[in-house]
Amino acid sequence: MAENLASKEWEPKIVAIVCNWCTYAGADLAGISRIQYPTNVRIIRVPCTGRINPFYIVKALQDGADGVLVSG
Amino acid sequence: MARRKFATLKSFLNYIGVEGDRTIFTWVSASEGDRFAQVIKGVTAKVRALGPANKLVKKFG
Amino acid sequence: MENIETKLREEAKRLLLEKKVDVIIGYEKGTLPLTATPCFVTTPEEADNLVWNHLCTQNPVKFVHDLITQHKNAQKRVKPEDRKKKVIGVVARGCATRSLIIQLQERQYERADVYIIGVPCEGYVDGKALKSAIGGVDITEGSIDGDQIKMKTSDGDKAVALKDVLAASCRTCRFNNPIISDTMVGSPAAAMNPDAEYNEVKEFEGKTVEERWAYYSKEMEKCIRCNACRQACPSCYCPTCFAEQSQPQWVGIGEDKTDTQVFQLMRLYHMVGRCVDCGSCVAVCPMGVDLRKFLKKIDKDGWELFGNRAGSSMDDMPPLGKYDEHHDKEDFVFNP
Repeated sequence: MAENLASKEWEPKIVAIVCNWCTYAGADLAGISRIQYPTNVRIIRVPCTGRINPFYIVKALQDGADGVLVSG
Repeated sequence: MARRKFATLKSFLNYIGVEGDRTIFTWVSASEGDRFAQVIKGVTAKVRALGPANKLVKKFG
Repeated sequence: MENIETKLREEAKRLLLEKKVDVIIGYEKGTLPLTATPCFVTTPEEADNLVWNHLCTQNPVKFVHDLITQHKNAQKRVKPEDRKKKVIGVVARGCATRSLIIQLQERQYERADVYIIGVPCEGYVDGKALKSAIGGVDITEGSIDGDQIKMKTSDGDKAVALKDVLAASCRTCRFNNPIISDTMVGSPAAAMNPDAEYNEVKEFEGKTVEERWAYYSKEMEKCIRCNACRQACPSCYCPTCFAEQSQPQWVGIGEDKTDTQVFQLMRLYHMVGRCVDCGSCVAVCPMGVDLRKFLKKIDKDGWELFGNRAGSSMDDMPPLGKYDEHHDKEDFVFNP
């Protein structure tokens, strides 16, 4: 398994911090409508974009995320 | 408020040398499933172009 | 300058005698040559220790907040009918009044809790610049004579022009006269050179991402995490700083270099709309980290994106506490 992962090409890891009421529902809709999109994002749901502490973004970068998407 | 916070954070991260394209802000409404897919595609392409992150990343072990 | 000093002492004496203030935070002669340290004056006799010159470096507003918080906490243990009011007098120049405005805007205390003795300012001497100007030798005695600093050093007598060793933040200062004050001592000082304030930032912005990161990581490698910058900063007054929080632990406390980078990054970022460019953090840094280059960028963003100069007016709101539908830029928003 480890070898398999290593031999694969690098894939970006993206953390998406999204608002429960807007983008999360949007992502849900994308799922229901069976729209294809890349699997590189890990979605974190927050109650509101205002809930996001800038630290979340910096911490994500520090802990190895290649990109951070914030969407409200 | 939130947007001002992020506008300055993005600008400051870019200033200290963490590429601006690694932190991306956008709006997607609940009725825009298609736009969400477009955003994810766009973001993935942007980050892929930058390559793996090596700045500010903590190495464990 | 001498004139201002005498007037300042008289004013301080009068205020203490009339019991208008309980304590005055000002500067006294330091224990080392060519230094001045913040001091607390509580009796009219002590007022004669007050000085006002080019050596008064630290922003005294840090202590205003400390004293008021301490007093408020002490009063919690007193019956409500026995509680006393305490008025803090502070000798404040332009940047110090800006810090006061920020703390007042952030509802840290009431305007009536402070009595502001405004003083004009013509900049202070950057200790590190002075030291390197004379080749790093020890100063045994020194005085400021007009626009010259005369010193006796371990390497003989030396003289340096005052304007060559002024702190970087003073040279491009826009607000060198108090913005708010209860009494003003002396007449307003001549303007500095504020048009050049963003030159350094603009130059740094012109570099490539890699160069900027190389500079940032090089500067942060010097940092020993002594937290002196935070302790000196009048805008850093949180009872528990994020750096010490353990649940969640925002930033590691170890030697890891990324932890240092993240600590500094977030401390700097917390200064959006709050940094008054008083230069206290730079002055107290034992390792000489170039913090100002990054703080000035935050100041520039506050001005260019939101039209706000930190603490420049009592009527302003903190820039991150409001939103302007018509003027805020949209260019940072990603559109696929």
